Amino acid sequence: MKRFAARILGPGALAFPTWAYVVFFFVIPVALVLWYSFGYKPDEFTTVSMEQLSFDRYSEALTSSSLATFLATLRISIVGTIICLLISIPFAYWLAVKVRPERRGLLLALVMVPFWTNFLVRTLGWQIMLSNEGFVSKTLQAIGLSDGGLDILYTRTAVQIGVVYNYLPLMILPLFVAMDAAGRHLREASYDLGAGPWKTFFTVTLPLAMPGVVSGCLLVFIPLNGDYVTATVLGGASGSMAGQLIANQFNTAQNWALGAAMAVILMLATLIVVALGGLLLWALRSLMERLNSVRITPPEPAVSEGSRA
Amino acid sequence: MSAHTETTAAQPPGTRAGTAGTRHSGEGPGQLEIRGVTKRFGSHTALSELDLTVEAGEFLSLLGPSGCGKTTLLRMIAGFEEPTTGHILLSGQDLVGVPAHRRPVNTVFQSYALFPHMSVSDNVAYGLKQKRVPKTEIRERVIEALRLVQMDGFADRKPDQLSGGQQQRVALARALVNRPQVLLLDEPMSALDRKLREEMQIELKRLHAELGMTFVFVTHDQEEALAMSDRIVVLNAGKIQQVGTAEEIYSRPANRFVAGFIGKQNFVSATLDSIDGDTAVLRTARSLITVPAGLLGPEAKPGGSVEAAVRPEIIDVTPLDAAGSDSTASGDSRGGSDSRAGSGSAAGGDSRELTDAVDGEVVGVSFLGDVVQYIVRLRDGHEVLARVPALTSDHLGPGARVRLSWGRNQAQVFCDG
Repeated sequence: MKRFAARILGPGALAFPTWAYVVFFFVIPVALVLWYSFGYKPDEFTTVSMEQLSFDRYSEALTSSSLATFLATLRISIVGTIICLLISIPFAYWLAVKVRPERRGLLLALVMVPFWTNFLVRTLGWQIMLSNEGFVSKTLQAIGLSDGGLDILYTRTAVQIGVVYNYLPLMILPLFVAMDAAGRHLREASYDLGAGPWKTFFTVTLPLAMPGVVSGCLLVFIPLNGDYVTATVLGGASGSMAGQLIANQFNTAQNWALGAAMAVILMLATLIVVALGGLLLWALRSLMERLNSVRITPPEPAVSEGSRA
Repeated sequence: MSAHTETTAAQPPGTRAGTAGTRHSGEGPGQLEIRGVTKRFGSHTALSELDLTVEAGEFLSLLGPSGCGKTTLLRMIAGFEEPTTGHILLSGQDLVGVPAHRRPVNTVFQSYALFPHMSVSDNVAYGLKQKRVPKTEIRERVIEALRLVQMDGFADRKPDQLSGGQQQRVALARALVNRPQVLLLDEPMSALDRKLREEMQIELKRLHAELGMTFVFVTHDQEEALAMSDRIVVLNAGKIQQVGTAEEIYSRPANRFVAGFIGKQNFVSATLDSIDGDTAVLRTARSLITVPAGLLGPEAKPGGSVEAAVRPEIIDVTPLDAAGSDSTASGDSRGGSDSRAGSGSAAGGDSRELTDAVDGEVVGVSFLGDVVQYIVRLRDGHEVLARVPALTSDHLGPGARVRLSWGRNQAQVFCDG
């Protein structure tokens, strides 16, 4: 039986569930979306027709109003990712370095609790909190920091706050794991060699936690770009995001071709930003290395080249 | 290295000279004083009331079983732990309260703790960069340090491209390059295989002589401590058991723990029967043993329980001729009444005569290269370990009847107190 399966499926037989899943639930749907983006909506009762293929839906998707939404989406995602990173780095450091190991489980659970709560429910919670009758507004007025009611619900600011809250655990967890793995021994070695806590953080802990930073940023940025619930609940008309635009085309306007083209544009924009981010990181790293590194061997011998992977 | 440090290194250990000129931090070997240091972790006392002076330029080993507090002491000198009470003085200045990164000591860690994201040269340069040493000087000193540990060809490698022994050398260079007043070594060789370890021991000894730094070396490996140290501190259960040179610790252990921990040892429980002039008589379960009274401490009183210890290598193993009915017969006749005592006790009736010999049967032989180790079972069931030089031994087989004897002055006696 085993041999039969191996003969049919080849050496990747063990990975069959994985690649079958990826093919059926990722490759084929994405290919369909890409395919539909070249079609059009022939009449009111048909969602998509592929009789004439064109790039027209793309130019339609990039009209000034939807382009503005795309750019706003990217801005919210990039700013949201950066804010998540800035909140998570000190928190993850504290959790991995300062907190006694027996207490970490509890704190990690606390990080996870909102994550286990329904996404919609906790976003609605923010709607109540941020409304001009909400307690944030009332508190600000009571202590005299704000004159009138708080006027941020149904704006981009509200969406920004909402997405940071919703995606924060996805940044904290990989960062914590990475900083935990960087290890007490290396920090102690750094102190021992005369580096104080700050220097140690920036030269040892953070560089070693970079894989965690990168995966955290990807985990936050990519789903955030396609976020639909947060913008719908907190954004209103002025705070809409690309996800809503696409959902509207598929659900309300029933124009699958335009929706597909918008989805493709969103995916490409996400990929481009990720690629640019990666490039920036790589450039920064090589710059830092060039500035700080002590090179003993002159760079001519070709043998040492391979070791700088 | 300056001429000053060279002369300090050449001085015999334990001299106080050389400390006077090294009060200023950073350069030269430092004298380390541990004064009344106690360390508690919750209710557990890791070290209690420790007093110890490490002379400038000395190679001192902290030796003890795991959990004895040796690593805790090292971590307190390095600054990773603070003592609960007491003081740690380096060249006269109290280190307690000074954070680890401001202490003029460096550590070679058990796990090496090389920074995996930096090249070998960047690892070695790390300490100098923190001190804002000029870049050209950093480069020179890194090259010099790597040359010192014979790793100058590996400067651009990353730590994970090195073998364990090479990583160890880099870790050593990374600490040495800062010219610390005291170099702390936390079981740095425990991860190396035996051959490499022996090479590194010689290397480390050479570096110590060359650099004249104060080395504090933590180990649980007594051979390592014996081979390298000027002085050894034997620790157990948070207390110093003995401080002395390798020879002192080995041949004149201060108590039963040290006697048992360093080297192999045969122990015999006995009661002190009587002291007659310079001869003490010990009564074991079935025999009497005489030892020089000088071996007993002043606290020994007749009737008190003691333990006699005899090292395997001071025991002479003489085969009893199986054909010679004399020796066999005497061994047999003696065996019933008095298996622990030598032949003379049965033959002569005077149990105080030849009691530093016993007969038994070889039950185990292991060839250890330079020595042959015999396990000899006595008539009362006790097993005695004896080691004889491999070249002179006649390679007795299991079952051979032998007589074990030893020089009286070489036995040790400890009072249980």
